[in-house]
Amino acid sequence: MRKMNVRLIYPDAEGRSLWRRNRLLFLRGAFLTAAYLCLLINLLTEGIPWSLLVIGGLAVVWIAAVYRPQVENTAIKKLCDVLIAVCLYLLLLDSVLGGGWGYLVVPIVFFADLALIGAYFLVFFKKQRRNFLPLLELLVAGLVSALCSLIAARRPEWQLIVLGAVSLGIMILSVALFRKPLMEEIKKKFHTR
Amino acid sequence: MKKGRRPASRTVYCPKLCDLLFPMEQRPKVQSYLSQVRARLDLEPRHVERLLEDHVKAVFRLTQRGMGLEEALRVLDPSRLGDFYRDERRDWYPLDTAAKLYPMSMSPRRMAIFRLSAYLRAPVEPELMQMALTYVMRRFPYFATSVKAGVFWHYVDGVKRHFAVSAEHGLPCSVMPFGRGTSPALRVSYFENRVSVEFFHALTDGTGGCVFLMTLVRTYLRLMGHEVPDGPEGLPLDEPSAPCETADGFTLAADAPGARGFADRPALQMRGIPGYEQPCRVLHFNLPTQALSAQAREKGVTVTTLMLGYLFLAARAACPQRPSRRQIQIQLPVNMRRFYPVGTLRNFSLYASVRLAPADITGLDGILPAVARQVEEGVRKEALDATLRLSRRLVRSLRLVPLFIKRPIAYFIFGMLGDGVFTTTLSNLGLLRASKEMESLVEKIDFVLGPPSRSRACCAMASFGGTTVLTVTKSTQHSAFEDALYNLLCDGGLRPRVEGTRGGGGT
Repeated sequence: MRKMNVRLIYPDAEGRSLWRRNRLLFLRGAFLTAAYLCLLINLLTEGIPWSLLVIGGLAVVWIAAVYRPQVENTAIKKLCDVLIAVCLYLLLLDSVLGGGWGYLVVPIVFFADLALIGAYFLVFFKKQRRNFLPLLELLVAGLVSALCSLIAARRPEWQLIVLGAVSLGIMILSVALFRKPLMEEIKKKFHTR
Repeated sequence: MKKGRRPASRTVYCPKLCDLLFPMEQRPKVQSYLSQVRARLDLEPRHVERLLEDHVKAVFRLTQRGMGLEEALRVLDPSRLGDFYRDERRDWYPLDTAAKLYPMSMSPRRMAIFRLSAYLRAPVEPELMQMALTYVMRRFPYFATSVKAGVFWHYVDGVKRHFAVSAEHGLPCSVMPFGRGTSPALRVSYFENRVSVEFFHALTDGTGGCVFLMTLVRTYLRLMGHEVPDGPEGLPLDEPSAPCETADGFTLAADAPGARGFADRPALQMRGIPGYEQPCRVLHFNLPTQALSAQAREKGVTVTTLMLGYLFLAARAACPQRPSRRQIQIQLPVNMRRFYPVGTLRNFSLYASVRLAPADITGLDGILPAVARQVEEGVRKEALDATLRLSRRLVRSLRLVPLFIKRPIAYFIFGMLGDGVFTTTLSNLGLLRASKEMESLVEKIDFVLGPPSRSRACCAMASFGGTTVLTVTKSTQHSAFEDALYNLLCDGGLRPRVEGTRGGGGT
């Protein structure tokens, strides 16, 4: 058996700390451990399902602070992801704690954040035009939920009307101001080739 | 001066750098040159700044090499930028049939990346390599793109930015962060006399990547003052990009009954625990091309078949010795351009599978006939066309399924199976040709595949300038495979010179 001599022709790798190399793994471990522990303690102690709130909160923190999409990790995508997570968490809070306020609060949070993301998109359109898909998804969701409430309820709530109006307003404004580039982007985003 | 009237001010570009590098009397000329460069840029301010700095540094480097300032400014004529860094990019490209899987199956720790490196006969001058890349990106708009997500499929979108050449650090083929809006899907780096380009596989395959690398190296050598004519190795910089360069070759096979090819049984895997950081090690076995060809001729097989024979023997030694019903299977990528002569730079390769039961692997001469037979069978056009049709049909049938459904399924399936149906891979780029002048300035080319997900090693090979480099990318620290391969090659009289990264997970 001959001994293989290897000539090193690559630079030495930068010595990254154990934490830096494995931070995602450590964080995931910490989050999952916390979630499991809370669930276990909650099941053992009984009472209201407060562990669900903790798990939901951890999920929101994960999405807001840790999770990074590998493709299109943009400000709009991040804001949209956080908005969805926060709205779902508010609904969870309402259903666990009770009070029925979710129906009022969630659409308000939704349209306020939508207005913020919409403004950001329109003001920085040149830079953000390629990142509009998550916003479009939220606009469609806002519009559909407003339409559903209009059809289903006899007296639609004001917050849902505002949500629909904000969604429609951002859509109309975007098309009116940037019709051609937007159409180009839509063609890319919806291609099936 | 009357109140309210400002003195006529002229913008000064990169003032600190210019003051540092050029004497007072040369600065006006340099500033005038930079204003011409600036007129050709419409990018984000930080990218403009970097491009201007690149020009200043490159001009300085040329003057340091003994060129007069006038001559240096002529060599780095701003017109070479064209309108590429000024005009809005409207081009975008749907991913080809083979590429569609790569972005769907990647994770923060797993990404299909390969690297091509050229070893020059002199150390790389980074300032001029940077300028070469700046010019070459204009010729290859398809590579000046970023991966984006659509509703149904990913695609690559043209981006306007500064493309950087950086000093090499970290592990070869490590994960490429391209989450930001305009992050490119390739990475150019240098170390001593080596320039490397790493590509995300969704963008291109080895052949397309090689055209890019050779064009980059040729442009660099010309900037260095060498007379290098256009040759078969790259594309001429003064020609615009042709539509055939971005054609999807997978649409070329005629529709015919019979589509098959993907499913396979799990293969026997080599010993060794996969390392946490990937790749664990990269090793280059430098072999004399002439001796390798002579040995292949002597045994009546091709160089690829001969190397497959060696790999089977090495894999046999590295696999568990207990009896198993599983076979040793080697994936052999096949360049489809040999059947469809198209000039596409995108992915256009499929693979054949060569397999042998461990008990049948006795000696090189004993297995070569069986390997040669399987290679011949596997690389037949009809067999590959059937796989090509299957992949096309699969893509067509999934085209209306939203990405958020497809992606986790693809990720899960790839995670479960991955390359587990192969023991290893041998991707052979073959003999790369270039003009005589270029061959005298480039020592060798190597080709590195990214770390495999389930198998323990994968191999790639390229021949240039009398040297064949067989590169082994390891995903485990267990050294049985490379030790066996080294001994087999030595026994075969090939005497490899081995280079690579440091063992034990780092470089």
